[in-house]
Amino acid sequence: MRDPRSFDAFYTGSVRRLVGQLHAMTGSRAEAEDCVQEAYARAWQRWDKVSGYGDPEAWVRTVAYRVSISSWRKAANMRAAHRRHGVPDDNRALNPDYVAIVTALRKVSASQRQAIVLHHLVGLSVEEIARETGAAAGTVKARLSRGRQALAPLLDEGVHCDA
Amino acid sequence: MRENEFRARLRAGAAELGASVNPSEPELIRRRGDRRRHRTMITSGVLAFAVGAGGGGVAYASLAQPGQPASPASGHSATAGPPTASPASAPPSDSAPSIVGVTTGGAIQVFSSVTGLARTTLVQKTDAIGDAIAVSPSGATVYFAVKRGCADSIESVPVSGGTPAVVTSGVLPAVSPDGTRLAFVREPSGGGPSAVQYGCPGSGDATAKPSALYHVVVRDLATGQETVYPAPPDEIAGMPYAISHLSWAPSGQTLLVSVGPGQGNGGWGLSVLDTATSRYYVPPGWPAASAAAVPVTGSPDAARSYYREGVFTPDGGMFVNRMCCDGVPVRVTSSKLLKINSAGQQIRQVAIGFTDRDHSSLDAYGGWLLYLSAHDLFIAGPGPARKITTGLIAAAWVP
Repeated sequence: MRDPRSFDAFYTGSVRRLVGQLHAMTGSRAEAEDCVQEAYARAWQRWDKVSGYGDPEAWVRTVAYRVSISSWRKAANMRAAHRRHGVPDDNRALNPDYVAIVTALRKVSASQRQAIVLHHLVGLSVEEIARETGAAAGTVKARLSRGRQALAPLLDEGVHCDA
Repeated sequence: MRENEFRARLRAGAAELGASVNPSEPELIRRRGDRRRHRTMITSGVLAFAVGAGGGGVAYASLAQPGQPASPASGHSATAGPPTASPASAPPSDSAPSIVGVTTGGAIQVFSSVTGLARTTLVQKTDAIGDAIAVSPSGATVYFAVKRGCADSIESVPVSGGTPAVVTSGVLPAVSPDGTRLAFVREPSGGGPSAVQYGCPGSGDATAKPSALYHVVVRDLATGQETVYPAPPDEIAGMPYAISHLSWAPSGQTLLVSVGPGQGNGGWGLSVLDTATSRYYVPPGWPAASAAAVPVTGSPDAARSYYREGVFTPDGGMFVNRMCCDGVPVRVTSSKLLKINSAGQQIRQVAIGFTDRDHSSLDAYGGWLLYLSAHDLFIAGPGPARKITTGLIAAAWVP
């Protein structure tokens, strides 16, 4: 039995956070909003199961990310986003530091970007990222490391490991 | 940029962006999810139709809504009747007839017969026995059987909601077409052919002979007066013949009694009980049953095929699950959902069932039929059956 009240509470409490995370992964606010909405709709579609998962937010994030990397979906999203928002300029009102980071993130590979966002923004450990993405922990470590290396020349100061 | 600085900037920016988001109302998201769910059901059905392997043996191509008038039930074919509104192009009407069901989790819920979505939950948690739920012709009251230890009881709850009330002891409730009488079964324990248990007082009494313990009972709902129809005394054997379903004829006089199995995967069948003239119900396969049993005809192997369950349809026909073959070792090679006449002759094939699934909880309303294939709920109108929802152990139309 799907409980609309629990879904509404979950949606209201997490949607902004997930749009922020997806924006960092996709670099597009419109696409992030579309993908997150689609993922929530899919969550409601099977809310009787998803609500029983330990971390429904991770489920929605994973689905939203998968939606975003679907090429067919990407094309459809771009058309829909263009209709709604016109030419993408949704970064204008944001902090320049953040815009620079997102711009740099868009230039590294999708898997590296996903790992970096999950680690630095969502705050997941390597093991948790491995579980969420289905990759081996060693692979996640490699993606984080190479992602940092790839970001370094893209950001003025690079990204250095904390001591 | 140090890693912690990178992290802080990333988080601050994402939080800033998130704060500026004006998300859609959750209700809109839910509607979108519901539309997806509906499209998924339709797509899966069309795909199943395309490959000829729908759940329960059929797929659905008919998108007619139960709310639409169906063609006359007798003799209609899979292509008879005008197509009605497609759920894919028009939102499902909330006025479509409802289905009441017992979920595998024990809740009693009212579902839309179009979308399969639950409309209301009448009872959150019961120990309801499967394949045993009935609704009064007025659509106001749901009757269901509950097992509590050795005490099986029939309870009722208003469709509009309320507290369940015990009606009497027994299982397998069926309300007469005029709503004045409740037919049910008193049996040793449990409900259905596979749930016979002998751990309860009296149920294992060899001297009583198990078959003598199965009674069809008709209770006047206004006065509480009961008429009991036992198996005939000269036919009582030492083996049980569990009754699995009861269904009233449109006349309100005759009951269709689904029976079986007896020992050795035999004794299945449908027995017609005239409540006005009969003193006994006769399990199919017994010598005295020849006049009362619904004959099995057609293929495959009519001699070894049997009716697993059957119900009357409003036009006086029968909707049955015809299976093959009885006997041991148990090996099911055919399971069909059929519309037949009282002579056992096929009017039309409603669906082909999976041979490894039980098909139960048959019910008819107008020209519409429903049944469970394991826990999947299928409905069939003039066209092929389609899966509506899953997770049920009993279902019935709400008139």
